[in-house]
Amino acid sequence: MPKVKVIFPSVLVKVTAGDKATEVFASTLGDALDKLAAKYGDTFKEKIFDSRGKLKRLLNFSVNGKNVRLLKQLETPLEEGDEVFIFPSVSGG
Amino acid sequence: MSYSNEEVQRYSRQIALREIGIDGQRKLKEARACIAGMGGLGCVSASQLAAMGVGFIRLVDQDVVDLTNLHRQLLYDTSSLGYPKVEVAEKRLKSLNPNVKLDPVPLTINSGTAEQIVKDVDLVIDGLDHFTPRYALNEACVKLGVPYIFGGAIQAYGNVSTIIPGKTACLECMMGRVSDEGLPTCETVGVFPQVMTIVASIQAREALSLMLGKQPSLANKLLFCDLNSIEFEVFPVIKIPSCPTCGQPIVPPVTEAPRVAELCGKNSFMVSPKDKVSLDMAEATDLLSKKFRVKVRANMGVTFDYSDTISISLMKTGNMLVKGIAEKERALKVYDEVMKLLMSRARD
Repeated sequence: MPKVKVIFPSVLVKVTAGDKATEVFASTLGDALDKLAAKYGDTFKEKIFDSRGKLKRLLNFSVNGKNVRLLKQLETPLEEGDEVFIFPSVSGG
Repeated sequence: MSYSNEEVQRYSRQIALREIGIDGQRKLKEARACIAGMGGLGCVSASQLAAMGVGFIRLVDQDVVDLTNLHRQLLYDTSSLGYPKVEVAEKRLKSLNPNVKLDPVPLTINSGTAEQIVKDVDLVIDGLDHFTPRYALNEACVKLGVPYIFGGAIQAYGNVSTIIPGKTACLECMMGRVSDEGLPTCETVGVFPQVMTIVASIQAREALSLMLGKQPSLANKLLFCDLNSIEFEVFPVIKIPSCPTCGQPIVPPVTEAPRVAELCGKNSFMVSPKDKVSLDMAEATDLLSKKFRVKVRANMGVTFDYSDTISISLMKTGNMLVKGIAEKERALKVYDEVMKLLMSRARD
């Protein structure tokens, strides 16, 4: 199974036990997030997923800079050495 | 292009910058920018570009100045309440720098109007407060090849990214299609004025890079800032070939422009005309004052009490802000009634 790096934004660090990045073995984004939810617990899960189990609208997930919303969402495949970035969208102005 | 002594002195502290110099100042004078949205972000970026001598600045906003704007929208003050934002902004910016040509446009930005406001400028700076008009702007900029400097700010958080059509990720590549429905707004969760100033200043700096012919720092990158912890993070954002907006071939999705947009949580609606309208505001205001109590008589709009509970601001573009109504259908009905009154009286 590929090993990938996941990079968190500062606003999520309080639910990742202070980690700014971590490594995980996973074959898809969904797989990676499930493993991170198991590692960090429900507070992490609640920040990532909405009540229907979908990715939160104002959080973006990219694999090597490509947003998974335009790829295969949670089914987006991961390869060895991929970098998964999580970053927030800000709407106001 | 020549400079007066006044201009040389006015810009001397930026001409002294290695990044600008006299040649750069000439480029700024020749540049044409559009600020889309004259709220907390737009007030800052417009002030900076005007003060620095950018030759042409289009100011676009649909709204009138409201008391809740004044803690962060620094071009307006208490005497501006009820006036069209673009009219007040033009006056202030003209006073700040009379050398700059300003083009105030009191218009709602949507898929029906976005192209007309970006078609003859070198770049667009985002000062909007919702995603829906941003996607319209993104599509127009991609179609016409105009750089678009995205910016957003809420609570203590901000985003900035510089989109170069055909070269970088566009807004949809970056974030997908985010619906505005139910999202937090400055009204519901608040915003620090400081984050507005920082985000807009970074946008203006990116605009300067483009005007000076330099590589912008946030192309293919998204900045996220958190002023609670004073942290700035930059994430890579890569263009996606299958993107519905900028993927090849470039065929932006055709979305019909909405006529009525609800302004979150305010019991307010912005209604746009079916077709392009240019009202004679002096005549329209005279007609309206015969039936309603006119509160603000401005050159580009009028604010009046439609009833004890409903207040209306009508712009010369036919855009109407209706406050005090909970249903969209009722807002449309009020719009049609007022416009019918103006048209019938105008024909008399």
